[in-house]
Amino acid sequence: MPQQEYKLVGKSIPRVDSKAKVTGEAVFTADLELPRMLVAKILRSPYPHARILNIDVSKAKKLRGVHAVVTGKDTAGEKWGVFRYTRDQQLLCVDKVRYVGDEVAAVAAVDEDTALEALELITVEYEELPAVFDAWSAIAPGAALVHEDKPRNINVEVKIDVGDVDEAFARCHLVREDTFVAEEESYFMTEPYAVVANSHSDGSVEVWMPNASPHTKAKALSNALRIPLSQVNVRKITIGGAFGGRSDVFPAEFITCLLSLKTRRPVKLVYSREENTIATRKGHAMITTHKTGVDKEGRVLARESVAYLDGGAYSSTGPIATSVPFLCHEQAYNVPNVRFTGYRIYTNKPIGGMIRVHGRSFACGIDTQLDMIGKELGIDPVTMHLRNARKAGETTPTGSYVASCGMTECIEKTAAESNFLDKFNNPQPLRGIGMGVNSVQTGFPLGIRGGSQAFVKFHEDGGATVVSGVVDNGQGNDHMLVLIAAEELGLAPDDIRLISADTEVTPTDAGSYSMISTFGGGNAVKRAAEDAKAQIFEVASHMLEADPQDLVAANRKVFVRGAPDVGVSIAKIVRQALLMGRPIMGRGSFAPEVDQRREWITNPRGQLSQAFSFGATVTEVEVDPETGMVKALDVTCAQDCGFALNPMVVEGQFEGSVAFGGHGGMLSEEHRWHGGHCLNPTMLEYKIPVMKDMPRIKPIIVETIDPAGPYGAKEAGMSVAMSAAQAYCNAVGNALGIYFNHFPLTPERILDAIEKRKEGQGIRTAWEFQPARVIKTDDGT
Amino acid sequence: MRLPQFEYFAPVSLEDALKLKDQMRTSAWILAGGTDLVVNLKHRLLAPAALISIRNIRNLTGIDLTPDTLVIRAGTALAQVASHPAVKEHFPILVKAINSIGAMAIQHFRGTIGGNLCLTPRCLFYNQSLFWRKGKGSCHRTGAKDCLALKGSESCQSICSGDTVPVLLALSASVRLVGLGGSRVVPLTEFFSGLGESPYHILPEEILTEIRIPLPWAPISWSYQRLGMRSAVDFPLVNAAAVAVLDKGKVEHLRLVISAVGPAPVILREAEKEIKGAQPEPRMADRAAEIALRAAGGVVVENAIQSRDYRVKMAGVMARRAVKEALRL
Ligand SMILES: Cc1cc2nc3c(=O)[nH]c(=O)nc-3n(C[C@H](O)[C@H](O)[C@H](O)COP(=O)(O)OP(=O)(O)OC[C@H]3O[C@@H](n4cnc5c(N)ncnc54)[C@H](O)[C@@H]3O)c2cc1C
Ligand code: SF4
Repeated sequence: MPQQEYKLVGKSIPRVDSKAKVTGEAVFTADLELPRMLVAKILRSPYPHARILNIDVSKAKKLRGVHAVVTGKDTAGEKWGVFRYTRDQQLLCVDKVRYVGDEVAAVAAVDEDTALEALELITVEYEELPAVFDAWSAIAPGAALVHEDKPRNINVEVKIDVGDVDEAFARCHLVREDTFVAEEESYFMTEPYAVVANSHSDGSVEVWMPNASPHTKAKALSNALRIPLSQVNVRKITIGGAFGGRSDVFPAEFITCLLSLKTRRPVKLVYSREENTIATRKGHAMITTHKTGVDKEGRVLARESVAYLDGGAYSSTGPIATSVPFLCHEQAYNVPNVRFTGYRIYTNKPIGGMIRVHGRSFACGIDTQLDMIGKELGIDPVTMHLRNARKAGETTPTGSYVASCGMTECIEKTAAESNFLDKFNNPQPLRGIGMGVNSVQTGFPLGIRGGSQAFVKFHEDGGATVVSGVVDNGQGNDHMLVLIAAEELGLAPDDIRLISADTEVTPTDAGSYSMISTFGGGNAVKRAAEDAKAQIFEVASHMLEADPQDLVAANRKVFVRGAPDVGVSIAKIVRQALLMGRPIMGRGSFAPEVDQRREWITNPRGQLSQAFSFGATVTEVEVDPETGMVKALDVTCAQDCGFALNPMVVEGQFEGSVAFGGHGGMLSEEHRWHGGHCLNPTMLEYKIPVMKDMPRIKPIIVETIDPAGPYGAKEAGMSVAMSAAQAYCNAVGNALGIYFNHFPLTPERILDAIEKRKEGQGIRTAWEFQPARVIKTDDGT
Repeated sequence: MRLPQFEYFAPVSLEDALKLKDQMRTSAWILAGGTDLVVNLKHRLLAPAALISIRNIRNLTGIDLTPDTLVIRAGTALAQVASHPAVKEHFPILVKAINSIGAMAIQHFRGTIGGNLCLTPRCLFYNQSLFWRKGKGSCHRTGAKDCLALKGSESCQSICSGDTVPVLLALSASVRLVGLGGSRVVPLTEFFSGLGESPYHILPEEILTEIRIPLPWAPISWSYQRLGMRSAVDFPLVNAAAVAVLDKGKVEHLRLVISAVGPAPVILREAEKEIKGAQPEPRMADRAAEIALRAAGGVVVENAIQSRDYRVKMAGVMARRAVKEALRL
């Protein structure tokens, strides 16, 4: 169907969930109240690394109002890990604690004060152990081991080697190697983590919590609690943001369920802001060394990258987190010969997980280095990016075919709109302009949970209920599903009811991480709606005496194409269908065409994702050279999102991406540490940007109509988040004539770089860091 | 986060409040807007037996203009101070300082000027949850005899963070402290102890009732400089205030103060002396910067989210900018 015929998709309309959110009517986990509900609190390790010698809970148990106290002894000893080979996290510590915040014991009591008092009554004897707090000291021979069975504290090693890198370097006109360092960042989603669990006499348990995949949570809980999957029902609840930080399974839900099963009462656990920061997930600190070789025209012929990710105490999504920075890069740029070695390293710090900007040091390193090479060759950044940009019809080094790609258009449009070359070639003092480009996936091979299914059922009044496993954690997935169903069925969004993200009722879905919700879940709902529509047309064809092929559904009616005035209402058709004993029940499913043999470590090749989004961002800044403070003036961002189902929502995602990836991510957001203690776990000292400081943002939507996406849609916003980080970095560098290699660019770092800058120093990074190298372990591997 | 248990009093007269304070001394804390106190209570930094709210005490709010002094009662809301015609007319520098405090919600609904002056000094090792501090150990502020930020330090170097502090000091303000036994007026220059663990010279039975700012005898030229990572929410990373009287091409009067460096604001007397009586020239700003840098270097310790090094440098920059603007250089 040509685009202009769409009634709803492609138009800017308010989200279906906006009213409930602005009026405060939306119910979040912490708002839930159930009869006889108890309050849970967790006792956490005050030490970064210690052996647990003894835990005495007797006093706590005796406190009036305490209903249960649990420790590692009450667990079946199951360990959590995203992969079979990364199961390293006890859900309540048994033998050791590995970071400040590790879960040691938990209580359920009649109210919060009693629960807190009970925690005070638990005595734990620890034997403190030497600890490691950064990648370099963790891999040093003889360093304390976070997990005894992991020599040199190496958690994950990802190796990719495509083409003939060494031969290609030998042919290069110019080769340079630089090292880039980034500190940890956090999500600071509006809603701190919370869980409510309600066990029933039949042995089942209902659970509510912010999540990115109810089905994954249910499976993990079923394993850890050793109860059948059919007895774990993860329910739908409004979720206040995720940004990658809800993708994993945490001890919190396990502990809450355990307490509820023990007490046979509903139990609620609400995290403080500090707990949300230290005891869910955070970004990885990362050291990346890029060696890049180009021909005379600046085309990259070879690249070798080695990265160390400071993973914290446990694996979490380790293999994915270690790979994705590289994968985004191999999608964004055409690099024929490429070698990547990524290590995720255990340290005694909170656990690293997925975050919106995958690897600040990796991504910003690539684009900073391209700018440096461009400078050496006398080629401007726009040309450098265009010459190396990915194009449709190509295949990435690790074997993903790229069906649609608007990268060139994104670069050209942002450059033109921002007047890039003019500003770049006529610099004004302390003003800078920079460009970044990137790409993200829409989904990964996830085995049996990689696809999505949906149902559509009709009501007598012509309205419909859509059933889908897709979860909305703030980005607008509910709206997306309703919009697609309404478009297909010729209904208004108000006519659609949505049941989603409830494991008892809704079919499986890939989860709202990896940017697949629209591509996977949206397609499944579209197909279910198409199926229902075909059934409607079948019934209507008799009523209208027309061929089903000639029918159209719009404005709650079905009519013959070209004759909208003589239609019959969908309500009437639905009732007719019921009379005929052929109720309208649509079903649909979608499984992306990916290579299920692909594996993060053992087999990193094959189709990773069926579609990829591409984006470019240009940022303009002004720097105060005395204070190092940066004022962002204008940001122009473009992304190929395939097709904008709702431009208003897409633009909102772009703006959020600029704030998260660029403005906060590159100028101020980082954790600081003192030993294993996070110095800024709360919103006062962790500097997420405030509205007042945001620049003017010009969003540009680029549409390539992906052949497999619903209406051509892929993913909205993530390529902007990543490219914005790179653009901010290059803009600040451009303002000062400095190539930054330590992120984020806080005022103190900027000032330090200004002071260290020497005239005639050649083209070099602001700081010299020890390069990340392939690690040779004792056994010679 | 939960509040600890405490008794709560909300007397309607100053007399009653003073009686309570007299009985309970340090075990009772004054609650004004609570925007500082309540956060500290939640972090279990304080364990008062009682809070005495001054919200219901009528004559602790309001602003009076006498022939030579502007009197701001301690419980007056920040926004009320900033929008008062006499404040706007005589002390726009105070308006600027108030407008930079936290966010609109703090200025409009809760925060008071007395609370701003009596803010509990801040430290990255102190303004943390009970859980956080348990793992780190205690310091001068929390019952031990050492400092976590500077091992071996004799006293606490936590940070005096109020935005109005350097401004009121530069305006030569004084405060009225009232106890059951009587009242006294103390110049702000003598109000700060320089010890983070007991930052103010205020007796356990006293309440701060007024801030008194003398009206300028001649038109004043002023500057308030403050650096924050973000243009809202953040406490000042360093701030500086300069108030000058320029007459016949000369600097008749100058008061130059930097703050948010240590437990007390620092008056840069050496710079004032050099500048007073002379004609304004650009080198004065650089001298002020040098002096500020040296002064800050002596008090700043590694206890804020920004490094010591950066804070010291910024003290110089803020002082330079304050002098430049106030002397119209
Ligand atoms: C997110 C956030 C950001 C903030 N940002 C800033 C900022 O940028 N700049 C800034 O200066 N402040 C900031 N503040 C701190 C605070 O909000 C303000 O300083 C406010 O003015 C304090 O006034 P209050 O009336 O709320 O004080 P309260 O919390 O009521 O009291 C503060 C202290 O003063 C004592 N006190 C109050 N009144 C009296 C009195 N009359 N006599 C004796 N003792 C008294 C109290 O016992 C207490 O110890 C911020 C606070 C928050 C929560
Ligand atoms: S400066 Fe030292 S003594 Fe004072 S609060 Fe901080 S750590 Fe404690």
